[in-house]
Amino acid sequence: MADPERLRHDFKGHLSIILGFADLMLSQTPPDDPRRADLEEIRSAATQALELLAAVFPPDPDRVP
Amino acid sequence: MPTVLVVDDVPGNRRLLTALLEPAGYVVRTASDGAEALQLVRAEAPDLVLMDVMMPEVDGLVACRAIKDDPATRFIPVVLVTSLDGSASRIAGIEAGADDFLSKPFDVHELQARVRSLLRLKHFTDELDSAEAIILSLAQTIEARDHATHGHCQRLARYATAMGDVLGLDDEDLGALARGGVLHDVGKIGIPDAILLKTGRLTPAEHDLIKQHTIIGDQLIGDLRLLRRVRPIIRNHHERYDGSGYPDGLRGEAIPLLAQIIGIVDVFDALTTARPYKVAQTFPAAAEDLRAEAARGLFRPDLVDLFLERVVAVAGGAGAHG
Repeated sequence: MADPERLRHDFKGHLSIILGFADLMLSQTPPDDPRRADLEEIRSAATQALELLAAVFPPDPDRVP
Repeated sequence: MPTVLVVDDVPGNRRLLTALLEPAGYVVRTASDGAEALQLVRAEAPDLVLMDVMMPEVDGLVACRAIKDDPATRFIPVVLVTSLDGSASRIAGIEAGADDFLSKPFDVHELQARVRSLLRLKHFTDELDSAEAIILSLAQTIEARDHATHGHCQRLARYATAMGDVLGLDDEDLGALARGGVLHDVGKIGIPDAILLKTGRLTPAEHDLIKQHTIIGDQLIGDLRLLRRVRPIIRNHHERYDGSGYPDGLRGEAIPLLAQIIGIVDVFDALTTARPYKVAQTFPAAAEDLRAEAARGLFRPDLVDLFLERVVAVAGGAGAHG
């Protein structure tokens, strides 16, 4: 079984990429573009997944990488 | 345009940071682990490093420490990017010498603000570096004014660092000796040609004026942080062990060691170099003179012996300079 902290780190890393690109694309999409709603969905799902992650694997404050 | 090095083992993160930074006007280079990052840092000296902490093989903390331990790269700001929130990981980062931190997922505006502020800081350090370059060219100007001393500064730097090496001095001291060899007489910029290049005997008043070069040099580089270890060399390389030197009349170990070293190699190089008023001595004759001066109390005898036996004997059995 992999180190839980490592799993949390990697999981958060992937979600951050999804969130980051969603943000980036939102910033490049005009306000009236119909695809904005889709991007908002991606953004919202990634944000909720990050919150879930914190609930499943609470951060260890003493962890040194 | 400033160059930012992005280091992350996950390709998506490298692409994301590149996509966020390039439109802001930065040149972005990427590396996929700490070892590759170190190679790029040494080869290309980026203006900023954005580095993930958790990476396979050489991780971000190790790479950060390596960047900060190397005098050539330590002024490059390093931002550690982490998805760990604990204070322990931040402390480890601070101990590794990191300049700032970013947490994943990062806010675009926070990312750009931190990058901007650290690059501003880097710009100031670069300016300090350029100030040093200006002082170096001043030193070269002096050598150019006085043809008799051609090559003197480079030889001094070489002798002095070889001597520092034999004494086991650390890298910063060796760097100071190299710079000190080149810069020790930088204050001569304030001495008129008529006196500096005079071939006849100097009057006491003229001699007093020449002595001022130690103080002028000291003032000239006074506030340059990068040259702080060189400053005592510039001010005190004419002090003598028995207190008969100038400008402060320091005695014994009150004379900074680096200044003593430059003092010894300076005299030796002057003895073995031809000047308008004298011919060059051979190395054995100069060695004998230097030992005699040490015996009279002008230099620390063990340092003179070390210089003659471990540096001159090894490096320069070639004879006198032109």
